[in-house]
Order: sequence, then C-alpha cells, then structure tokens
Amino acid sequence: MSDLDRVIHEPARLQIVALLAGAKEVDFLFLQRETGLTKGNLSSHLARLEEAGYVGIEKTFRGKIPLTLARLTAEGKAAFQAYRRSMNGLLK
Amino acid sequence: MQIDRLMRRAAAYSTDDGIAELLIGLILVFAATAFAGGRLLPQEYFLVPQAIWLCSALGMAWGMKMLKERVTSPRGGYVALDEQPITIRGGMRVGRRALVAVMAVALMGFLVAFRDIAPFPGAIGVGMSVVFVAAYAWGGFKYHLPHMLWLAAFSTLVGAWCYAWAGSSLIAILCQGAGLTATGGVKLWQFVRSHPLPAGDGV
Repeated sequence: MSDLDRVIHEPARLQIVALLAGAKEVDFLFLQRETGLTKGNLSSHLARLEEAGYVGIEKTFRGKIPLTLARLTAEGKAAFQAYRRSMNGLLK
Repeated sequence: MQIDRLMRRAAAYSTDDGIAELLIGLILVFAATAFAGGRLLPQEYFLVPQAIWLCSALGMAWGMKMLKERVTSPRGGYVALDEQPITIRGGMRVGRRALVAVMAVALMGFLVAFRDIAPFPGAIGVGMSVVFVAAYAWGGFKYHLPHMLWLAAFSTLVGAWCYAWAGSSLIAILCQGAGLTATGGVKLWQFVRSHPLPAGDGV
C-alpha cells in the first residue's frame, strides 16, 4: 500500500491522468467538463502533476483566446502504468 | 471511478458531436442527387455528377475541421488523439469492424439478389437495421441507442422505397444519407444543448 504513488492516487488527479492517458493532448476546458472540477481546483491539481513531471502544460492562443493544453509526459505514462499495476496487485 | 472508461473518454468524445455522421450523410445525399440529376443531362456532361460528388467529399474534410473548431472545441474542449500503435487488441477491433462491413455487403447482396422472393416488403430495411444493431452491439460504430432507432427507421423506409421503385439504388443512398444527416443533426443538437459556451474569455 505504501508503494502507491501519492501524486496519482488522489481521486481528482487520478481522473485527470486517466483522461490524459487516452489522448495526445487536451485543453483545459475538456478536463474541466469531464472532471467537474472548478477552474482553480483543476489548475492546482495540474500544477501538482506538472511539478511531479507527469504532465506537460503548454499555454498558447487560438486566435485571440488563450488556450491551455495538457499532455501526459513519458514519465507520467510510466507512473500511471506502474500505479495501475500496483492497484491490480493490491486487489488480487 | 472507472479508469478504463476515463481512458476511452477522449476517443469517445470525438464522436459525441455527430459531425461525422452529419457530413457523411450530406455526402450521400449530394451523391444521390447529383447522379439522379445526371441522368437528365446530355451524354457529354457525364462527368458532372462525378465532379459534384468528388467536390462534396473533399468539402467534408474542410467542413469537419470548421465545425470542430467553431462548434465542438469552444463548447466541450479540444482533444487531439494519439496515433495508436498496431497491437493484437487493435487488430482484433479492426477485424471485427471489417467483419461487420463484410456482413453488411453480403446481406445487401443477398437481399438485392433475392428481392423478388423476399417474404415481405421492407425486408431490405429490416436487414439493414439488423446490420446497424449488430455494428452497435459489437462496438463497430459509436452510436447510442436513440440514434440507432433513427437509423433503423430510415433503413426500413429505404427498404419500402426500394420495393416500390425496384432497381433504383440511388433512392437507397439518398435515404441512408438522409438518415445519417438526421442522426448527426440530432447528436449535434444534443451536444450543443448539453455543452453551453463557457463564461469568461479563455481556458
């Protein structure tokens, strides 16, 4: 149980990482709609994941509208796979 | 929390808006109308229907990009999907879809070949509905049940019309196009209703 990655194990961050695992990159709005988190809450969770090196954030513009894109890094993908393996192992 | 469902969510989101069905349906309607109209043209203009059909197919890519940028992304967000490596599981999925396509073609061929001895008018429509439902059940297409009912209803209509207008496959194409357009339109309408534009000036 102590082997579990605490950064990913938090439910909101697990949701974010699982959503990112199925895509190349997604924007902030998609994550907000799918997770149901507030902007501030989502921002802080993304910042935590970025700090851990699991998520890459790119701030850009679509026309004049600011756009925040998030993607899972190679380290994030590996951590997520390891987390799933640990959880599967625990539940067996 | 269903992690597998969340991992599939990005891929499922790309079909939530119904834009693909809408545009494919419009292409079928354009094609059927162009070829039907082409019969009225003099012989030397035989390439006109093909040109219209080709232009509508090329326009689909542009239409898809424009609608995604202007309708889907501002409401539900932007998603770029990974290019999936070929795996055994992916290969099986492609195989299942290919099998559904072969079944559809074989069933259509059978029904057309034996249309004179089919037990009741509308058999083609019933057959096509079976194919659609099989495709849904096997996950071949990402339709939801209400949309399948639309398709089944239009497919039945196709069958009835094909019997009334024997030999006119353009009517079948036209009805399929209308069915897909209606399905896509309903999905797009539902998507727009359930995804209002967010307040604020950016995300």
